[in-house]
Amino acid sequence: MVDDIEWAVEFEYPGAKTFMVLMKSLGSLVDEALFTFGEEGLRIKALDPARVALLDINLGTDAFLTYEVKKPINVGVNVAGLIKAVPTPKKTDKLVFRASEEFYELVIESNVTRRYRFRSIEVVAEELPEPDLEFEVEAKAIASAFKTAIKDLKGAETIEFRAQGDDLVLRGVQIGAEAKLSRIAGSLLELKAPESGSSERYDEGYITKVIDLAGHVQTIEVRFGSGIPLNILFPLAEGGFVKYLLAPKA
Amino acid sequence: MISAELCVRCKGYKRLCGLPKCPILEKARAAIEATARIAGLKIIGSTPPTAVVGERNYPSVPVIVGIPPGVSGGDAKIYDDPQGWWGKLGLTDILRLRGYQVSSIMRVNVSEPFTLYEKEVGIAAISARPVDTEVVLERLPRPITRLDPFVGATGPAAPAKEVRVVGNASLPRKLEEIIWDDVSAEEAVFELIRGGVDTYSIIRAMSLGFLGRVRRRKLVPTRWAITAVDRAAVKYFLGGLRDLPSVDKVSVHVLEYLMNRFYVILYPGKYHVEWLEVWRPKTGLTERASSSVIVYSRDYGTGRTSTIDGGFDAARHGLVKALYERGRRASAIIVRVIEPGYVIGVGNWHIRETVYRAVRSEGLTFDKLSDALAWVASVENMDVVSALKKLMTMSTRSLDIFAGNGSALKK
Repeated sequence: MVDDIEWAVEFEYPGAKTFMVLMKSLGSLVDEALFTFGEEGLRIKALDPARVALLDINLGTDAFLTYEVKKPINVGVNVAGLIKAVPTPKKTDKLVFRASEEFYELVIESNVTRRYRFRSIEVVAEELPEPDLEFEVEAKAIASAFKTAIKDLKGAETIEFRAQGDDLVLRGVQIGAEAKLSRIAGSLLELKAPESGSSERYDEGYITKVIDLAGHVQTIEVRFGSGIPLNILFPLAEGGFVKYLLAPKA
Repeated sequence: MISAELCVRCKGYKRLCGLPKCPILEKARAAIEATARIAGLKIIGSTPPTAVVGERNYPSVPVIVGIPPGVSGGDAKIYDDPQGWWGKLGLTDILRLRGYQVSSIMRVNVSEPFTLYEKEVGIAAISARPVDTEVVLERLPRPITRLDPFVGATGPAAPAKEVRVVGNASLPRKLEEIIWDDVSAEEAVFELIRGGVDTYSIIRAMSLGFLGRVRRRKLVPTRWAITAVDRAAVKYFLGGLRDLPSVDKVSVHVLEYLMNRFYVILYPGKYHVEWLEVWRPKTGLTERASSSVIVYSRDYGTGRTSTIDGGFDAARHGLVKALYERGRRASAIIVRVIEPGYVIGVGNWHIRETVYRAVRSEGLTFDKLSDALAWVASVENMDVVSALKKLMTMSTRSLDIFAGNGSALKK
């Protein structure tokens, strides 16, 4: 164990469990990712190998209990290895993350303090698509209701998102099942859509990859439109947000 | 009536129709003559080597050693030699060779692979060259050929009273070293691939319990071992592919063997594979189908697949091995068209070998992926065209299209 490391970055995050859920969502898309530490906070952007889904994790300095950056650095993280090594923390556990050019370590502070140190890897910063989109439908929903609706459509392969009147309808295309989020039932908080309605189909497997994030937020924002990607925004309770962009089916 | 879709998914193995025996395999079995001529209970010959571990009655499983009676030395090699068969032998030649071998069956508990080592049967089974073997059967075998679409056919079988290895086995050096190593089975497979040991020897070594942590070694039914080795090989080669430059052109590589035509379409990008099988009517599994049966699967780029499909595993193994040897990574679409003459499966080996050879061959180049797909559609029949359309509708578009920075998938 190397003990005299000069850390370039150190932060304390209040929700160790939320952080690991973020890592698991990230790990479902990529095996390795580049963590960018700057004055404004931590940014992780990852595009899956098929270039179909983009996960953008943005944790501003206000999301942390403490956040100290001696110099902005990029740290290549073996996400698959990290998920395998670090067990799921409890909800009340706190996370301390430190990184240097060579190493990064996670300390889970609970009744027992656990420390996991890894050597950083070289991750090439690739050019990521940044679509500039105008969404036809913009909805705000209760996160737990959205998560239940997606879980209920498990095995559907394709989920059709449809804005219809005052409702956001999710339909499992292959299984013929439907889940409805409505304002009357209270599961839908806001809905902005064209009068004629709008719909698009997305890969269920790709939505499921990040759906556990919905368990760690109160509300989510869903945007989509005919022929354009699905955008789900998860505003984290601890501060910061996660943006997920998924291309539609051809 | 049992639907052809069900038969294609089952391949006579999963018993999805609920019948105790697959009626298609039973019918084919009756039509294929077992050519082995057995005069008595004692069989003398060389095992090529052929060794299959079954899965019935697990954990007390049958271990089948195949011997062509009266054939010894190097002449026995051809009776089980997928790499040597490829491109030279037809379906009936292969079935005839397999049907000529007598299968002697021993029953062994999977936790006791060492009982096979003591009799040297295990060592003979992983030999690189045929090994002289004598078998005394308990009774005369019934003259039928056993068919297995995954493992291949085996000849007339009977329980063995005694199996005696009389010749000397010759093991590939790397394999001889690794069986003494206390490493995980996956690490052992990696090491054997690195050492240039052929896939079929690795499968037999895994199946006969020669790989893995010493105290935990077990016999592994051959079907499971084939899947395990294919997946480990994909993982091994993928590790090397990541750092390689991408192919810079869209290309189509076509190769046909055993009434199976493969189109491997490579295009620039990270590793990611889509798999499309088109089972035309009147193959062994689609005898009553009025139109083609389509099977679709994909590897998301991590080595994990959307469905469990042994054929796709074998194809991915051939693909990544060939790409690794070419020193290029690529995204790929593999289309397998199974023609009516493919009456019965002879194992997944031909998928692995054909895809490997296709990717190694010179392909036709195209500017765009859509042009390559259009070319495949132009040379194929309507069933394949509609399957390709289905592929495009099942696919999810790339985000690059929306970013406006161009993409191979852009149409």
